[in-house]
Amino acid sequence: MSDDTPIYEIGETYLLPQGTTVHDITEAVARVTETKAPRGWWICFLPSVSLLGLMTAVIAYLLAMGIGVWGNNAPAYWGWDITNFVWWIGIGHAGTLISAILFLFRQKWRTSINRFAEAMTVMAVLCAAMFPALHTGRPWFDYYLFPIPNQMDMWPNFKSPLMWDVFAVNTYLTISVIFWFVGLIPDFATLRDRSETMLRRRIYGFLALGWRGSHRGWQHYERAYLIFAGISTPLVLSVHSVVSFDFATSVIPGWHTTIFPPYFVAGAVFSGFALVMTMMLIVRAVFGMHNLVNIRHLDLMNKFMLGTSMIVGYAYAMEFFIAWYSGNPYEQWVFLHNRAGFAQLDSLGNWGPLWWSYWAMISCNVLVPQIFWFKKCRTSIPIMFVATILINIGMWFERFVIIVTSLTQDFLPSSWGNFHPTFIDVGLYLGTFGLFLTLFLLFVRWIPMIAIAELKATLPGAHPNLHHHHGEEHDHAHASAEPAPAE
Amino acid sequence: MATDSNQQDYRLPANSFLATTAWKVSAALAAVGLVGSIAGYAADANRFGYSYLFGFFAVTTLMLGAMFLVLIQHMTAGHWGVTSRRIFEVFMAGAPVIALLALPLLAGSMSGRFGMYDEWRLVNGPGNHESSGHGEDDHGGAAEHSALTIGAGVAHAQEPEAAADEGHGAEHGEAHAHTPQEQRLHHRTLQAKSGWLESSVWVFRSLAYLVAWCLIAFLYFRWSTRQDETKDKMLTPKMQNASYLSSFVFGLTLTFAAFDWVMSLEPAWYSTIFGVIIFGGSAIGMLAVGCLVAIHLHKHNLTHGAVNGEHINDLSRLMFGFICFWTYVQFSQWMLIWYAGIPEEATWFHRRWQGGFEWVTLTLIFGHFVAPFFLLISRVQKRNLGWLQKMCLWLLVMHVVDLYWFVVPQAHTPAQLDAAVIYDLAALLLCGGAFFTFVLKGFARFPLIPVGDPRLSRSLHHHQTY
Amino acid sequence: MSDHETTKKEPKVAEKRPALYLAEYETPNAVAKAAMKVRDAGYKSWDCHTPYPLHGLDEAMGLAPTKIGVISFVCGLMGLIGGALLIQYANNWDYPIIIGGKPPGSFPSMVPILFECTVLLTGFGTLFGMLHLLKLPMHNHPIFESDRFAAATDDKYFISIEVADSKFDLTKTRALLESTNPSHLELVQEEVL
Repeated sequence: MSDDTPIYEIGETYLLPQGTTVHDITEAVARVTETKAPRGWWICFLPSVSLLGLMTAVIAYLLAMGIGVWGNNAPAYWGWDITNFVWWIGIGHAGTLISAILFLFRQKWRTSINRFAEAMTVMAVLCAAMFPALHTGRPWFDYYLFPIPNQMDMWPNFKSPLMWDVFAVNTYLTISVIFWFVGLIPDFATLRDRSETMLRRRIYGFLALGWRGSHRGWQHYERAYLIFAGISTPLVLSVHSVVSFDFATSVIPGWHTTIFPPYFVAGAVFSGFALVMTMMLIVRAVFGMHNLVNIRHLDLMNKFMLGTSMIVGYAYAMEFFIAWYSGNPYEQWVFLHNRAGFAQLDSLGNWGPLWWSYWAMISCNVLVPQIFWFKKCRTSIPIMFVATILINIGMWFERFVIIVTSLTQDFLPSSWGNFHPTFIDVGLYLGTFGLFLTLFLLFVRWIPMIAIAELKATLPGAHPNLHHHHGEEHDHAHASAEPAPAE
Repeated sequence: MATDSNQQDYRLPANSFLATTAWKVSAALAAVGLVGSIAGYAADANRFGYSYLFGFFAVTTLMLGAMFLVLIQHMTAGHWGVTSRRIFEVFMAGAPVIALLALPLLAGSMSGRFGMYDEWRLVNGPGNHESSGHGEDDHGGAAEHSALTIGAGVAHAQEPEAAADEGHGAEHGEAHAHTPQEQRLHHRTLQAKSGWLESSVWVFRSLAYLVAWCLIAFLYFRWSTRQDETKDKMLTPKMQNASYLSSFVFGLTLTFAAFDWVMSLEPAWYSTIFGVIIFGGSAIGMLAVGCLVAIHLHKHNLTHGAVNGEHINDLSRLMFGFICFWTYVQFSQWMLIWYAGIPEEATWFHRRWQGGFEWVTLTLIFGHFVAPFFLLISRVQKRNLGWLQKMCLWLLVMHVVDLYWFVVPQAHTPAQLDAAVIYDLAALLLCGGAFFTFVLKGFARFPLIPVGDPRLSRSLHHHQTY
Repeated sequence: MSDHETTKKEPKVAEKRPALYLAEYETPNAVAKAAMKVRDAGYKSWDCHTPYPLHGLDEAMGLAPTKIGVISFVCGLMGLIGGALLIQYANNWDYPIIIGGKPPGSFPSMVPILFECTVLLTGFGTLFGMLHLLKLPMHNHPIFESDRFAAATDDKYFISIEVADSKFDLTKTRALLESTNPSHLELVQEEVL
């Protein structure tokens, strides 16, 4: 059908190299789990495990000494811990966005990256959950957070946004794992059927649940997948919205602003996309996935980041504008002095002590992505690699700015203070990278990192071209393989 | 059954309802609205200002929703929406009518006959730095007088020393008589932004929004209709490239128009999400209208199946998504303001929960979210075009109620549903009738689908895979 | 192109009986056309096996629309109601608490948790509903006795017709499948336990 063919004049192309067969995809993806790990994998894995070791040591020290070893202290009761929590949760959101939202919008190019991003979601949420769990001080009592009848005969306070967080993050983790696993079932079956050894056959066979590629099954499976995408979309919005409620329900200047929920979601997606890019560029180089994840995918993702960067920029602008427009002196103080560091000097004649972090945030999140207006930058791997890392730094600063600049100088000058991170803060943050990267590298090594079945379905000619005999009003020669949108 | 785009011209048959009767009905309604509006203006020009703003803004949001849908389709370069894009293009091309309809609003506000933006103007006026500078005689009517009171409550709460004196500011509202001190504080708050809200600056910005919209609408309509004739494929990447900057301009102008025209009705109040809410509602309103038109075209086979159930179903899904989005942003604003309980913000919702407006609020909660959510969630419901048609009509009404809820509670203090609702309706008929007359004429003049679009064939054969 | 032997790894002296016919096709079109023939022949216990979901095969096989949406919806509703009852019981009936001036059961504050509960239960409902409808996990199935079937998760398309079907007949069914021009056709046998 001519509808499958790209219209080259307007810049459309095939997503995958022409002539890619169904079997090629199986080979390219499954081979990674069947051959020895390339040297690049070990080069990444060993430092990651070391960082994981660092994390374990830091947590052990933290548990032994108490959370006083963090830099948090009055008035900055939240510091790096919550910054990292929000940052990691945000990283996870890109995975759900790619797997669910882009699915709903039928963006077929997502199939090359969605598995990958979903795995990152699960791992990032695990890293994120660690911070509030430790921040409770005595994590062995964290079960108080759940509505389980306990010896104190008390229930959690369901009106607390922190309690909403418990529900949101746990639901998010659960649904993300389920969604990920459901997507993996057919691919586990592929690995099972290619197994050379009994052990592989047993393990992948167990995970594949006896999948037979039955179309009666596919029918339910596809609808279930759609439903998962349908519930994950509002779920991912709700999770970061609930995280934003932690701040916005309060009356702290710079926190209490109504745009926080969508603004946090956009920021989360933005940073998550950037980390997906960073990781994908590495994995693509290590495992030689250049055909399945090619420059066209990267170009589209860069465009997407440019778009989300504009939304985040919009939110920064709104906050700043409304802080001025409100006429509220505290809002103005936080934005103009604490954050932007200009216009007002405090009584001691100091600039806002953290102005540099605000401007780091603006530079990395709003200015850097502007390079993606140029096709040269969107298709240059070194440039986008650096840009994605800068974006992630910027998004970390965003959370840091929100938390620390609002807490350290708010209403009463007598209760102002400063925040200084400790080595334990830094160590734990780096350590969670160890956890994240270790899990991630194990994933790419043992689990199909690209959705085999989904990617096959996007090949040209992957679907039957049937003309019905019974009088249907439209024929079924639909555009089965979506060409890549114009660049 | 659509087979080949080249064999059909996809124009509205000269004898069809849309080409002959529809615009006349619309024009007649506009005439009725005009009569009602004149009566309303004569009865109480100040109150009519709110009516007109409501009618005007309701129609404006439709145009903005259409513009958004056109821009987003070019930006994403999808094929499913190609055949239905013309519907939105024609509505978007109503931008000049919006600009014309804005003139009475700007003139009324400039000349002082519409008093709804006067609160901040007063503050900047001579002699208002003193405490109780303006009484009822000074500025037309008890309504504004008490509007100042509640505003004073807002400002009062913003000033820490005063709040400490008086306790809860929100309870002042209507019950507590405003003190000179409160008024002074209120003025201080408003004075800080008087340069922004000042009449000429405000009008200048308003004109800038209108010019930007007309320009975007003109360019996109021109390019698209030119492509109809020339079949020039290169116009497609051109429109896509222009869509990025246009969306940027669109986002900012929509936001600030919402701030300037609606949020500033309560000049001391502010909410960062306000523009996003207006945007979400606009998309719903236009998608409902777009679905209605598409269903009409489909039912009467006016596009020979080019716009068929598959496309309509996709539109309805998008609409469903926006219903959820609208609810999400509206709820976020409400919940955050409710939870924090700061009087200076809560007043805005307080107004919408008194004097009969609590029923409007409830109507929105149930009519704009709960009912449509459950009545459109299943694909069976969305695929039943008769059902979808009714739901779209309902959602269109709800969209109008939504904007009513934004504008009209500001008319009196304390907020009160009044008999002038008839003039609100008249203004809506006037603005809506004028806009639709223009748009319906557009349907008769241009092909009903963008026949020159290179992705047309793919869109004609569009079949939902899920 | 056919062989009546079961393809077993270890030729034990186990008693065997036919379990299903397995026809193999090279292209999506071939399997879809064959599926229409099998559908029109009136079989019920049969299936297509493909490496990825083929669009249009639902109709080619004559499948009724899936009901999984209903399961998800009902579960989601249970989550909503369950969440509301949990909050009401815990914070209103069993141990009423008033915090931040918000009376027990203030609706806006319930919404986030109600939403999460709804989504969680919808997710569980969809997962378990899907597994139920798919009759998974089922790690053992006679179809795995075929060596060629491994390609069903790679790049080949299959149709299986089970003995359990009332219309199944060793020769007629075979003739029907042969008429669809499969690239390979076999009778898969299972061990009698």
